[in-house]
Amino acid sequence: MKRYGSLSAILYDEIVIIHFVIFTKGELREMPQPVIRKNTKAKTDDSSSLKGTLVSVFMVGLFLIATWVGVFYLFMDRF
Amino acid sequence: MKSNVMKMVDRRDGKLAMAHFYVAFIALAIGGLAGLLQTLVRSGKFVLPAGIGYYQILTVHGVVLGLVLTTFFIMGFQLAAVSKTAGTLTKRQRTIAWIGFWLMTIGTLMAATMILLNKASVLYTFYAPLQAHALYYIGLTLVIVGSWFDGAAIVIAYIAWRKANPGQPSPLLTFMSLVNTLLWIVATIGVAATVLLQLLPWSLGLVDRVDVLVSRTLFWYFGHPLVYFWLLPAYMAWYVVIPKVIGGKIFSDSLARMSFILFLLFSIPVGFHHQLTEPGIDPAWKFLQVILTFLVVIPSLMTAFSLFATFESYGRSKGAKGLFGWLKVLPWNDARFTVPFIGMLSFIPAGAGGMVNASHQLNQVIHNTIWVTGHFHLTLATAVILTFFGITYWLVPHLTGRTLTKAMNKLAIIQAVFWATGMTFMSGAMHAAGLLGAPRRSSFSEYGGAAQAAEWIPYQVAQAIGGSILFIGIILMVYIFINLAFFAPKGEEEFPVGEAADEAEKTPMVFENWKLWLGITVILILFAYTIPFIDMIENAPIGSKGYKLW
Amino acid sequence: MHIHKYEKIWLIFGLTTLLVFLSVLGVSAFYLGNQPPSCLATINPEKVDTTKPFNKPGLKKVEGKDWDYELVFVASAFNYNPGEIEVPKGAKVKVIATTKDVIHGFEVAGTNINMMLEPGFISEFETTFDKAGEFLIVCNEYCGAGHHMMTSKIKVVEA
Ligand SMILES: [Cu+2]
Ligand SMILES: [Cu+2]
Repeated sequence: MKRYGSLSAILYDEIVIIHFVIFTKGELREMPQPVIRKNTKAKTDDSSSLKGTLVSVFMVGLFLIATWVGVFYLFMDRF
Repeated sequence: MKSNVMKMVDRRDGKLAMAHFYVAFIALAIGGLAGLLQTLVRSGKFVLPAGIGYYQILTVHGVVLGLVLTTFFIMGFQLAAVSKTAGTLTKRQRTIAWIGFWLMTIGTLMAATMILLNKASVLYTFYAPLQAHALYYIGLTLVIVGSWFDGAAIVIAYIAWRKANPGQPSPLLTFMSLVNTLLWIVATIGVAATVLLQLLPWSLGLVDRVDVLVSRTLFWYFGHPLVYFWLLPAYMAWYVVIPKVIGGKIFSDSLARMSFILFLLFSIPVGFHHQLTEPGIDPAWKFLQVILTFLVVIPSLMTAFSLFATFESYGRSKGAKGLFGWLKVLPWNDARFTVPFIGMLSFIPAGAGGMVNASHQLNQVIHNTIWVTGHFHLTLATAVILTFFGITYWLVPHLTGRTLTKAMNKLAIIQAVFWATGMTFMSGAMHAAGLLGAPRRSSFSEYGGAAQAAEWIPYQVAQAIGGSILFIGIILMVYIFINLAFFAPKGEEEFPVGEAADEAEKTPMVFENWKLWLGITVILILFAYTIPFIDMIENAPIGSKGYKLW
Repeated sequence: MHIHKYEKIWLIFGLTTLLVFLSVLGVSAFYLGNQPPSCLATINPEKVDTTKPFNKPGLKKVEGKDWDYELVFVASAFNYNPGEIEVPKGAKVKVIATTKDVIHGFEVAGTNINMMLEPGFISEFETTFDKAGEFLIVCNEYCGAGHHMMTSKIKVVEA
């Protein structure tokens, strides 16, 4: 998994991680889990997780990109 | 480091800080009224009475809110923060700060008088060769020099703390106040230089002509870090105060310090991004400063992460589940949290707009359009000012020995809702009209019946609606301030100072190495400015005589 | 100093984005010529009326240059000369402007022509007028009591 050689590899990893965060996490929650795991590992994992933070900052990032691209388009379109 | 008993700011220091706040809130009332009048005039449905000029009240608005309110509030807040976290000021430190306060106040009165006499309708950027009365420049100089005295008190208090606590990192709020003070001192050298060496002798008639481009360059050397001087106290509250208010922890002490150091390094050598469309500066140097400007985005990205992380960690510690469950457990009924939080949110579109502004040729799309006005009404007039209001709600009663009552807390949240609504209308309409080309800093005009100008008018009406809603917000705020300063019930209000989640991890001492950081700051400034500045002087055209065209 | 894994991801993403933006801007500016107006030529602001090309404001066809026309404007408080001008659509034009007194703006609304006019300096911008219509020129830098009355017009007409 460690292929931090090129830019695209880094981007790829990020996308994989975000997808993982958004999709798998949600599903895991729906699934019934063994009682023991819920009380120990799963719970401690959850209580220190920063997944919401990661998704939030990426939403901020996407907004920044959208704004910038929008004005760039305006610049290209105008004379 | 664990001295977290409820320690009150010393009463004498409290008086000092409160003196600053009185001026700040008088400025808010006056400047807010001026702002309301501007939006009304520009809607085309209202004419100013008694021969008052649009550009006169525009000057009032800019000077009183952009320079006076901010500088007074920030200095008051930082003095209180240092007194709280590094210990009560010594008599000497306090005297220095009082001298600063009175210099700033006298300077403000002088500048205000000249504006009211219509001798200084040159706006708060006072671009030569428009020439104001000399007393206007002297007044502004006194404000700057006074702020240096306030700053000196903070620097001396910091040095004393370090001497008394060798080998220890300074308290976070003191550290941050110091960074912002150093940033301010380095930045104001530019504006002091143009005012004292160029504009003042010229307005007194000692010299005939002024070099316009040099003056503008010195101004903008100051003008961008000025924005960060406003922003960093808000970041102080976001990083240190808000975690405590919600009952959580500071995400990371070290990262907070690092982002402040990055602001010190990169917020100064970037003034050209305000001069992207002007002649006389080689575009390669402009681009270099654009790159440096983009670097200053990084600490804000770090801040965004830290804040979300603080909220999420707190929420999860309270048992919140799911991706966004932590949002629900935040104390939305607490104005000390909610009001600055709205400010934080506004910083997202504010930051997006800022990146556009700084993007070299993209600047042509929005330069000096009312988009820019919309932009800094999100940064300064929402993100920063709502945070300052949020600070006021606990700091003023803390200093006056009173409490924020339930009723005032509720009113404070209502105030912020008014503010957010008004600003959405006003700033939103400004951004939109700006993209269509509507200029900033302009009175109502139909531009000879041009079709394009007619398109802008509905947006200008929306700005007036937003401005009116905002003015209600100002009235509410002034009312709350007066209540907290004079009428709220006696009691003890907490000065919330958060503790770091990673307390166990030692803060690297390198952050306190000021020779290093100031050294890099100076090197970056010299790198970004020396050659273009020499070019400017060597190739300067004949200077300009003064004009009074208002 | 410990940095959380997600924060690293976020910062790498942020830095990458900034780098992409800067690369796009840089290539556009330095290779495709989309630099912001940054003319380095100076002029005596008190002798604008007698200095070429400002002695004859307006549109001029030129030969042997990278552009077909020069469009010359002189700004002063509170007007532009010429107060109205026609330009044929598709013309490659170098807009050249300066001021006789204080700082003015020169913004052709709805276009990328947006530059500061500062006493002592000439401002230039090269572009192809590829859209027909009426374009309003406004002063977008405060210059005094009549600032908002300062205006001109470019009519881009089918050639
Ligand atoms: Cu800036
Ligand atoms: Cu003008």
